Amino acid sequence: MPEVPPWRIFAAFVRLGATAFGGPAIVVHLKAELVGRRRWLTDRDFAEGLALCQVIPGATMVQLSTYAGYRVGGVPGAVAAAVGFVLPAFLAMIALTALYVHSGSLPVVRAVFRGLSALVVAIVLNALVNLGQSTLREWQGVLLALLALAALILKVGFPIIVVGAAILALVLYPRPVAPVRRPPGAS
Amino acid sequence: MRARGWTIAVLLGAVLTAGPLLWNPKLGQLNLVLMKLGALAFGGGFTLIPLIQHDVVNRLGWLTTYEFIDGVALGQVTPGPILITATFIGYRVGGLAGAVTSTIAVFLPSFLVLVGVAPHFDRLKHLQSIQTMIRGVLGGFIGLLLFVLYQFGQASLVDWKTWALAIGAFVALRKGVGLLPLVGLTVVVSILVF
Repeated sequence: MPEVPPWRIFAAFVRLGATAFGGPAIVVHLKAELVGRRRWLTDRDFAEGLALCQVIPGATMVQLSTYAGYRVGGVPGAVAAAVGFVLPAFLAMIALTALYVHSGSLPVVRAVFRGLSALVVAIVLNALVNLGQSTLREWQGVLLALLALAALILKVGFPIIVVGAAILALVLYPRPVAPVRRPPGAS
Repeated sequence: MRARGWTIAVLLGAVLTAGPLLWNPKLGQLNLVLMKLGALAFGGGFTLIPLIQHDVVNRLGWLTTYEFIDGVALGQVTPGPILITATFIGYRVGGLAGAVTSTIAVFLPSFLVLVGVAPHFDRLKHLQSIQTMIRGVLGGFIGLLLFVLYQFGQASLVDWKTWALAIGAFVALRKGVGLLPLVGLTVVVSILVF
């Protein structure tokens, strides 16, 4: 595969990052651009990258961009892709936060955020249902969820909760286990 | 990634955390916390919401639940990852410099994991035990999400109007309505109703 210069990778991912709305739909968007239009990755590369991004921590779409940048441009390509993809969101967030800090007390802004806060509750519930559909099918998932909740209330640290859940899973789940399915609502 | 790359990455991490510690200890500590959480965000960026709520809001108290929810809402309005909420938190704690360093802090660990693991993935992907462990971690995250749902609900659902909006939005999301039109609709309804 020919090496793509970092500035081209950067430019491509700035465009992708600026138009990345809609959670799970972004995967389709990335695939159309990277596999379809630019032919930087094959179908198989893309599927492998997605599988990788699901087993390591991080925002899936950012990780997928980083993976694509790495495949076509090595470590400089990975940096270019990650920075490019996040940059539009970063600039938009800076602008909105400055606006929020300066005009957050206006009645109309308060009203909008009151409504948006209720929307956030719906979004969290939606993510919970999506994640639950794939992980709460078996009793082991339910047990681990309850144990994590109890640990959180007892103020156990997150690294311990995550490592504990991973180790308990090895003990509790029979093998082989079905491959992990991505919850479609989480981004 | 070669030795030089790792050295640069470690230096970057040190500058990010130790640097702000000199002029703004709170920001330095925030960056350390965000790096820790960024390394734990299995199953996508959304799992970071309960982690941030617990560490930055409940434990350290640098942000109220109300402010954090506003930040999450802004993270939904902007394109790209929900993790960009870290930019909001950094800005609140340390201004523009805070926004820049917090954003790098939250993405750096997972970036390093990806670049470190990608060349060896061919050997790793067939390991059943990794799949099983991820499954367990995702199960645990359900419990954490339940906790944050309770706290967000307590802060946001204060009267029948906010309840109605949340229930309506949830039904719309389940029916596959896009987030962007839903945000637009919420803004219009909020201005009219609240």
